[in-house]
Amino acid sequence: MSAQSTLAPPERSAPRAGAGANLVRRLAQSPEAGVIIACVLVFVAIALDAPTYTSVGNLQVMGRDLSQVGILAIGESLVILTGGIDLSVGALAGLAGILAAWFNVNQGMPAPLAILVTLVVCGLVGLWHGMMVTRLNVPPFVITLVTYTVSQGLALAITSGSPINNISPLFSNLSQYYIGEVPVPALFFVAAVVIAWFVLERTYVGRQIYAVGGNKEAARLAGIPTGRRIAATYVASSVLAGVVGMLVIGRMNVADPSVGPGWELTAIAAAVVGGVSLFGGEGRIAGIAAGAILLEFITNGLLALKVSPYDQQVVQGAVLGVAILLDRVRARYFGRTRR
Amino acid sequence: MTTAENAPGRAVLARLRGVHKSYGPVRVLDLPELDLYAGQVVGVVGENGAGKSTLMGTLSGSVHRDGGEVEIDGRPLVPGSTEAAQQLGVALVSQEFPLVGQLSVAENLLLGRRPRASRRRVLVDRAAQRAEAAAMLTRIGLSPEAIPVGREVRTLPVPTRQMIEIAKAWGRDPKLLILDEPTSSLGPVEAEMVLGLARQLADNGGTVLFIGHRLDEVRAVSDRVLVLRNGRLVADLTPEEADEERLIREMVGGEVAHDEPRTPPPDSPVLLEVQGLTADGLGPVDLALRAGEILGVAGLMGSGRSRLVHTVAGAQPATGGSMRVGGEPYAPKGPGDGVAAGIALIPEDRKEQSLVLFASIRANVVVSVLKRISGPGGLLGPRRERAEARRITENVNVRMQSVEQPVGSLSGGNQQRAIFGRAFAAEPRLLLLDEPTRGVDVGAKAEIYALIDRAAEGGTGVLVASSELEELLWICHRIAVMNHGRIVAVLDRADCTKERIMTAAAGTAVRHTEEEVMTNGAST
Repeated sequence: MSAQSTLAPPERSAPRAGAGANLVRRLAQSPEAGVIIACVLVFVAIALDAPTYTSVGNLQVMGRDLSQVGILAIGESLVILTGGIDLSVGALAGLAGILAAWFNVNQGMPAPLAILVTLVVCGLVGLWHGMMVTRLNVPPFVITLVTYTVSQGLALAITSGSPINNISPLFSNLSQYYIGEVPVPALFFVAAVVIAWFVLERTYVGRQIYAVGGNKEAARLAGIPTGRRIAATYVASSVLAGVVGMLVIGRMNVADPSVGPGWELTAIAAAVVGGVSLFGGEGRIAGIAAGAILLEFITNGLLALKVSPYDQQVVQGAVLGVAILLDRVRARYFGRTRR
Repeated sequence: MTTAENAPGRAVLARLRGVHKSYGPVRVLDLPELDLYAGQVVGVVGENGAGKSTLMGTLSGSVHRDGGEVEIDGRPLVPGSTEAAQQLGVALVSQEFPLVGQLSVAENLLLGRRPRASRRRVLVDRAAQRAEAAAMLTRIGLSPEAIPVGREVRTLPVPTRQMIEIAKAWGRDPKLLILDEPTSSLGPVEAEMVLGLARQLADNGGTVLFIGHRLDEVRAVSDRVLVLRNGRLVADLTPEEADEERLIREMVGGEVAHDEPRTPPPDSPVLLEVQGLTADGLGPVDLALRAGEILGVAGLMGSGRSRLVHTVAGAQPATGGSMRVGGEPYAPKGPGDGVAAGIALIPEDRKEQSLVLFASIRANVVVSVLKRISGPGGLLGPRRERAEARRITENVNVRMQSVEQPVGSLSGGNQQRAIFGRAFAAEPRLLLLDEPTRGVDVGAKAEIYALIDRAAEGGTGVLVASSELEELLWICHRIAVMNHGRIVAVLDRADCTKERIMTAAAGTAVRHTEEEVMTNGAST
């Protein structure tokens, strides 16, 4: 080695196997592939056992559910990619629904204006999170927990605990309309996935979000405006929570102040199952979307299989545990360790 | 201090006037006047905490200076902005490899900017990115075949990442290139390349600020050598003036004390007996260590030095063989068993493996004696704890303001002393050291050697693994040389020469120069 450069990376020891084996190996190395395969397996397994599972009606239900948890998971993942966490998304989604209904019913605003104002409020909440995190170094966990509490409380305070009825039909049109057989909210989820993928993979801003999450100091020294990138993810997360709030009240045709809190945990779970590292910088949109879909397949599947509601959460938790266990085993065998 | 005599008639590239920076009450940098000239490689040496990093940070914008003016090429540098510094042509190659492990080589090389050939402003142009990244590697003499630009950086070895870092800085066409110990993790070939690049930039009218620990290297590459001590510029030398002794004297601020050569202890009982010990990448190893003896472990990178120490400590599981400590069978299942058997391990990485940096010195040093100092029911009294912390730190002479200050606020040498204090407080029979003076400055090294001596004189057996041969030759009674996980030679102090150690370390197949042993060792 004395005369030769030592810089060449060690080749991954891949014994010359057939192309098929190589493909399997490559798939096994990617955390996204695992989740997607799990989605397919779970779907097929439940479908074989419960015929109603694959009915158009049920698929539509799952599509609408996905618009809730899935869109929250996308926003949540953006924040987690920067190494943060947003605990407020569920409660904020709930509050957004209440706000929009309240503006619409109690303040007499036309529905489009109510939606716009609510989304702006959500955006400002996200900006507040971003500022506190980047300017004052408040831990994301703490500042978003504050918003979680305040949002939950505000929703109850505005409504005195009782649902707001008689909201504009525009909301329910938004949530209950179909294009072909596809419910519109599911399209919102698809749009969120596509836009997030495009921004993260194909724009400089997106790549810089990964850089900030992967190594903040490196990003800063390279001249990337780290504060702005981080703040932007909080804004996106909050605005997406607002969108979910709109879809939820439309779906139920009523703004119920008890809806929302708790969903952030499902969103975080979807992100983690989908391969997002809680330390930041790692995780791709395909995996996150698949993570959300997998959780929905399981939740809905338990209903289809008529598992007792009392046991459902236990099963969900167990399935999550197994998924994470399998992922760690995979990471261990294929070297690409995630912290 | 005038600096003109070193560069008559040259244009000033960086002009610093009254630049200063303090952290709390400590003034870490104070430069009334300093000019850096175009076309020169300027070496900067100093102990840890002398102000080298702060000087670099001030010029590169990562440190917000408290006051004073900095001009680069006649234009003022706004304090505390890396963007502003980059726009003025300052590029920093830092020691900490600021790369994003999860991104590709190409994305790292163009971090924070767009490919020049790309007209897209928002969308990533991957083809242009890859092409420019490959060109950047080629420009510093690397072949893009050796470093695939699509690879994730974290899958690459450390020396490669260092070279990527250099390519990144080079690609910005810097006027002032700051290299912070760029060769410490590189093999000889790459180190040579980097020195060549520094020379090339200077010959083309740029300025290179070269911060180095290896004095011979700094002297060889520099046109001018600056010595910093306690944040001040204490010497401004030509390479001819800057011989090793002079540099060390200026860095330390006085003559370095040389101890008398040590004598091995009289025959004392065998403390540690290892037979056929094997572990992942280690063994089988046989070895015996007497009480009061200092046994060195030498070897190239990857020879198993660290592994041996860690296996004895119980920090790495043994897969076979047997050990006895003080005659008793010893089969550790984890480091806890080692501690219970009276073994103290001081690992090589202070920040990662030894200290909770943000916690107080007190909290860090008393952990080894918590059981002893806690009262009935396992309760700790704050007064007792503080008194114990003071006793421990005084015992090893930690220089600090109070035991309540964060241990991370101490200099490297003082941190290391605190760690020794913690280990000594447990009154170990056997002290295991892995790179005991890594990242510790010249003056502090001598004090750490004195601490090791003191432990041995008190009857503690010491096993010390180090990549610095001088260090082992200086402090050890015997040196075991390792190669491929086995001990291939055990040399008595009288027989020890660098050549013999190196020959044994390299085995018969490959012959390594001394240089290589040192650089390889440094990147372990």
